[in-house]
Amino acid sequence: MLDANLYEEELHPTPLGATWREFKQRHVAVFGLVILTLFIIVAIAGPLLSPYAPTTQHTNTLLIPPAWDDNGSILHVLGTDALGRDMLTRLFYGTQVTLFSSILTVFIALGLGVAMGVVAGMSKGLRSSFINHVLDILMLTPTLLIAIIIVAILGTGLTNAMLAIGLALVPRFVHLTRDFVREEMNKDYIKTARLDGANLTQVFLYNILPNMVELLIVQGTFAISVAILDISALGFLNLGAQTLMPELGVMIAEGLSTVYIAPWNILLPGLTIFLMVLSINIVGDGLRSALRNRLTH
Amino acid sequence: MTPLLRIQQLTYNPPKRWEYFSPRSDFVLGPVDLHVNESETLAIIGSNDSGKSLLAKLIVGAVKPSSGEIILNGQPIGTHQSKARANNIRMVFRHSAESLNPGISVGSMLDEPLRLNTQLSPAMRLEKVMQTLSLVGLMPDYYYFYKHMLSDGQQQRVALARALILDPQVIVADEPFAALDPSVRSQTVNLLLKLQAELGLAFIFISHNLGIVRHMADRTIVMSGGQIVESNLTQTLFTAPQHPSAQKLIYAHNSMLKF
Repeated sequence: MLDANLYEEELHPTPLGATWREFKQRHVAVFGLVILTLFIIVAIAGPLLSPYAPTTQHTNTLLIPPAWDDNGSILHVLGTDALGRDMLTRLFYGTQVTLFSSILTVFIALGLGVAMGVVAGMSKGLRSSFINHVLDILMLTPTLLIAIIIVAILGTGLTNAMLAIGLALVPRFVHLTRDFVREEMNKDYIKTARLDGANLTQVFLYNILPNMVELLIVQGTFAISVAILDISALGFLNLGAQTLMPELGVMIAEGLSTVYIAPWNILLPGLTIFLMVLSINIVGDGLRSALRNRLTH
Repeated sequence: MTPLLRIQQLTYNPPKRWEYFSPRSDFVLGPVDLHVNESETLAIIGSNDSGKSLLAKLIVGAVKPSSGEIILNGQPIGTHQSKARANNIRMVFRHSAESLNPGISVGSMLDEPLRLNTQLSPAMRLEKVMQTLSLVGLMPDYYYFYKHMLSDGQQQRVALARALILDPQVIVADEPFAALDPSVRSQTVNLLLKLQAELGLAFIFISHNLGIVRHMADRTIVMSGGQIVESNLTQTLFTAPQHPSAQKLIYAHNSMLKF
């Protein structure tokens, strides 16, 4: 008798492998991923790479232009600001603060939002519609406005800004999750799982969550770019991170006073924010189509 | 011989809801009596809205009946969803885009009922999944496949495997052959007949395709307006239907065959 394994293939692509194969097809998305990886490396290894401390003031080298300028110095590759702090160092630390605080904010908001959305999606009647409609009201107002109100109540500071932006992002996740779970619960494969005796938690973990990953990843990446913009906007308005902290929005605000003589002081942090948001959006977009195509090809 | 599954005076009244906005539904099912023996095939036919699917859902426990009893092997299984019922009466839904979960592999799809209803170890579950895959004529490779990699016929086989994996005694299928093309349909029919001969399953199925009903079913039940209006051996029913709605269905089928 033939061995049953004779024809068995040796390699079965995992969901992750299949997603990567689709993702590779889009070169723009891979380019975005490279930039994003660079930012993440810089954010993690920034303190090791940077030659100075972010707050060290080099008082004899104020407002030095970047190294490629005639007046520049190779000691400060991207120049210094009005207080003589090294721009490159501050950009490294700024990336760390802005990127990681945004990611942390989104993770917390995502966790909270998904938990509430699942409860709303699986319950029926008054409880479900209460959660939904109260959060609809919050969704109507722009996130930055809610964040400003919360900061006005709690006071300024990076932690409060993160809290405010996180709270402003939660309704969006709740809404998405609720709609998704609602739709899934009516499908036949959920009915079969229920007939097998799966309780609601098991139905969610083993049947709905695998299908929801796409939605969560895509919305999560876009939320990260929103959070980056909002955190630096609050920093710029002096409502979020405070002056001493090397946060990208704060750096732009500080550079404003010397904008005519030292434009690189606002250009470079601005460019960093721009590239960071752009790469995250490109990666998010690429992931979306990769995850969608994974289940068709 | 006592029947494997007996249903006595099963009724279903839709629960009272807010009636101000939604149109009132007066549909009432039953009371219904029926029985199935071991390795017997029972077909349920009837026009649309005659309560066929609802009856199937009541039998498997997806919907809670208002009154009546379902007796399996002489033991009443009263509660809404019980382990005994999940193990012994399994449902196959009609083939559709939503009949299998697109996000998990066939392996974990088949593993789920075992995980929930048995105390088997992971290695034993894997072995059982492999056995069931080969039972429905799929390669072991399919353990790692996802829904979108399967053809319609293979998807239907997986749905069947999911029902068979707990070694049930009764399989209830709601239009298992609808939405399948003729060759896949006959493959599925042959597979079911083969499995029934091997495993001694009782099989209850709903179909609009009277040709298949005539081919497969030992007995046929005709439903109309939530009631069983006629129940007889398939051969007798198809040659001499008594009730007007049964006559309508069977004459329509026979007149198609004349061409």
